[in-house]
Amino acid sequence: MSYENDFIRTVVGLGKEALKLLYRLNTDEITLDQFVEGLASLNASDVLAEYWAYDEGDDRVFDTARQILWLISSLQSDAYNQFELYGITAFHEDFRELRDYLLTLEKYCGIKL
Amino acid sequence: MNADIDIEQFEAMKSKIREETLKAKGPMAMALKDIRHKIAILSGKGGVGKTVVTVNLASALKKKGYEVCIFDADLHGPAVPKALGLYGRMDVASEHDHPGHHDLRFNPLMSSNGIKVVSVASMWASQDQPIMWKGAHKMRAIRQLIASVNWGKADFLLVDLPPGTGDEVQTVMRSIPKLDGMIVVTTPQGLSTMVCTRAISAARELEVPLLGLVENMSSLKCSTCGAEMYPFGKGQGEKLARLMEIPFWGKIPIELEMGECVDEGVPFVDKKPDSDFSKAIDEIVSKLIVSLGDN
Repeated sequence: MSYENDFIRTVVGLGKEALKLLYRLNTDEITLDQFVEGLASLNASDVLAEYWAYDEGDDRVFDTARQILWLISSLQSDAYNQFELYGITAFHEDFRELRDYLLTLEKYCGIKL
Repeated sequence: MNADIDIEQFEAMKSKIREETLKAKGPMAMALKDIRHKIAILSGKGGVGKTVVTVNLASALKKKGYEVCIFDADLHGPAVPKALGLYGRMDVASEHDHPGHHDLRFNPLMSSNGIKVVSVASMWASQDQPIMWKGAHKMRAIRQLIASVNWGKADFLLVDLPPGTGDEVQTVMRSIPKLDGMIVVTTPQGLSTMVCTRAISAARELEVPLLGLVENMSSLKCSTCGAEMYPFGKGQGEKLARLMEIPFWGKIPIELEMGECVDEGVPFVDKKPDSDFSKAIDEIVSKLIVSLGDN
């Protein structure tokens, strides 16, 4: 699987941006409002909808990429609720999960993030 | 202005107010607004046949003319699509209902007998794709998945819960608005009833009504002599129901062809409508309908 694939390249870019936002939220550099605004500007759900049925290649790679988009999109829509219910620590878990997905893509696609 | 137009205007106003109230209650209430009854299927222990019971209850309800949806809340071991012969993926679209807000909308899969199904198994292309979601993500996924589906109008939403009382079960119990209650599935095994007690206590703790308890795999009929056998013991389900003060809705026998049916993706009640299993499921459905005051 080539990193030159548009979908994978887009997802890696969005994933890295979301990871930065999670890091900055977890280290109190940005507020929850700024975090949600930042995620919204990534338009992950649009990309997910656009590439939902894309299956030209290794399913594992595309599913991992779609999981990254799903994670970003669900974080964006439920961040306030999650913060109210579980506090900031729940976002630490999201950071680790997103990092793991990106590392999996790195492994599958032979790319250096 | 005549009286008819006044009534029309009044109805339009009522529906607008209803819509606004639902919006205020959140996206899950909005998504489920046209579903009359929401029932979760619970068990403490794994392997008691919750999915088989759910799928067959859904089919039996469908046969009675009800519109039925199933939400497979087992994120790590989703099996409902396979049990209904569904292998495709759900369609998705991105909606922009107001500037800066993007929302995913899923269309459920539809089984050959007209049951709508939503499951994480129908989200990914690869059957081997592991779901590594953890705590908060699991709860978020359940809430978002329910809220993002175009459920449409239905009489029943059956939620197939994973075993135990973990994140998924608690999220369903806490988040589904106006959950009518739970059906508890156990087997006659002492171990199953013991674990089931904990799940029942969790439901009580969260003030979710317990509609009825069913004992699955209660007996096996010898195909040669017709004698009843009780490989997992006898009477424990009824005893548990009495002890926990839950209505006992019946015993579901083991059918030797069940495994084959699940693999084929055909509900047993559709394949063998005259079997003891199908009769037991029909009785449970009748009790469910009576308990909801729907008869």
